[in-house]
Amino acid sequence: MIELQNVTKIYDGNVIGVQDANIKIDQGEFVFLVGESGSGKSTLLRLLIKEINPTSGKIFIDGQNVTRLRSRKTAKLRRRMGFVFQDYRLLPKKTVYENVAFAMEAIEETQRRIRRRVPRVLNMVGLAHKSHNFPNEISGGEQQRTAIARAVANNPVYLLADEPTGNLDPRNAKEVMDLMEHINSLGTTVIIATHDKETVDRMQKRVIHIMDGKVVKDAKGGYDI
Amino acid sequence: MKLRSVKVCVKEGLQGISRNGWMVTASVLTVSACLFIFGIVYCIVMNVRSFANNLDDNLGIVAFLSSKVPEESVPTLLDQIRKMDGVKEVQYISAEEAWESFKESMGFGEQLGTDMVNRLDQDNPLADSASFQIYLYDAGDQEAFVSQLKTMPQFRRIQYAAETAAVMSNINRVITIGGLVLILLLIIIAILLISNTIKLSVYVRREEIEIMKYIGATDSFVRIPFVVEGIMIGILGSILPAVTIYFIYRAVLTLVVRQFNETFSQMIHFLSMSEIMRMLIPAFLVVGIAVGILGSLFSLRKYLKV
Repeated sequence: MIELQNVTKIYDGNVIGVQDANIKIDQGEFVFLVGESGSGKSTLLRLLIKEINPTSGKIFIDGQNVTRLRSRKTAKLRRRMGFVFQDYRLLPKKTVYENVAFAMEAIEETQRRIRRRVPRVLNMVGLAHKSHNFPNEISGGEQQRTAIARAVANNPVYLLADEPTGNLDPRNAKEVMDLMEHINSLGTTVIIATHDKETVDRMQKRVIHIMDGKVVKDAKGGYDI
Repeated sequence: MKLRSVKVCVKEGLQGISRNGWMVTASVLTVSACLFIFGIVYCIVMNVRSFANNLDDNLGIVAFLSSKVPEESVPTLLDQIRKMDGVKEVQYISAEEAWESFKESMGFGEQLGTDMVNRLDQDNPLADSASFQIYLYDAGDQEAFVSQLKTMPQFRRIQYAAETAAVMSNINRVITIGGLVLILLLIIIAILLISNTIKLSVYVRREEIEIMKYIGATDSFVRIPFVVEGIMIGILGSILPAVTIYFIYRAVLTLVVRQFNETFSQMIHFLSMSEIMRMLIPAFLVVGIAVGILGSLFSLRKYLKV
């Protein structure tokens, strides 16, 4: 469970990122964070992955106050999370297989488990046949699915995505969202920041709408307030 | 960190080297260039020092024994001097030996034997010139040593090359300090240059580092591949200058032997190849590896803060 209590983030130069946010996300939920560019939804995600610390307020993840964590503990916390970025962020010099395996190597998994797990997740995202291709040899949609495979390789409790469909055409975007829904159905909490109105309206999930750093709507349904 | 993670890190580091070929080549050449200059300076300093020490060795103190010292007590006195601080070697030269050596140096050969010389042989004019020749480890200590000798009644007169000794000891000090300072400067320059080059390699791979951190890799896990890369750069960077200096030094040695006559090459005694290489190769490896590790760690700091 993720809980934000009166979380405020003010950047240098008095730029407001998030203001007094109170959000609670239960285990197994599927949540959209929506809003215009610069509204604060990325700030919210960056707070959750501990890329930045809140100026005030508290963030609890599975009951643990993560507001001030040391580097080693942050590493441990991040192992319960998977991240998907708008620009995929695959390592260009590693194959699809190696990119996914890299996530497991980075948290010091055994080679045996890596060899067993990687083909399974690649199969799930439908890329088993591309496992030996390099990122520049596959399409944007396939790259994003590789990134998702990497994010779920370590069986995360939470899957966080920042504009995962931002660079994709509608067909690929739908594939990626279907994949997210499938992962959610396996028990992973999914949190997606997006301004893709069409997708949000179609999927009818819980929507947290942020405007100028403030939560203006938190309800199941479509994109609009 | 677990052993197999170390294995993964080492593998990553080696892959990094093959995948960042140009960057690594640039770093290796930087290390090589610095170590090469370091090696040349080292060869010069060591040889000049050895030359100076050699001259030092020939700067002895001559202490003439008083006529009251009986022949029998010479061995005891010799022992006493030998046990004094800083003494490298003591030789006793009897009056007869002194006369023989004087005759030889004046050209009174046996075949030229004149009556006078023969007569003098019966009555040694240098009867009182039995002496000790004393060599110290450091010719710079002569002054102090001589004043100590002067307090001993067994000696009637003491001769030594005070000025030469002082000059030699000064030259030695200047060269040693100068060489050390130069080598230190070179090491600092090498670390700066290498950390800059590795900074580029880290910059190229900043995404990789970022992703590793997002996935939950610990700092040490992120660091090790770069440190491995640094070590490899250090080792590769030592080989080239070691080989180059080996050949250059060999060429110089051959040239000296061929071009100059024996007296000169005996006077300027060059250190042998093995004497130079025995010190230089470990020094290259240690400096190269240390510089590689420091360079990687310096350049990584900024990117670990994600």
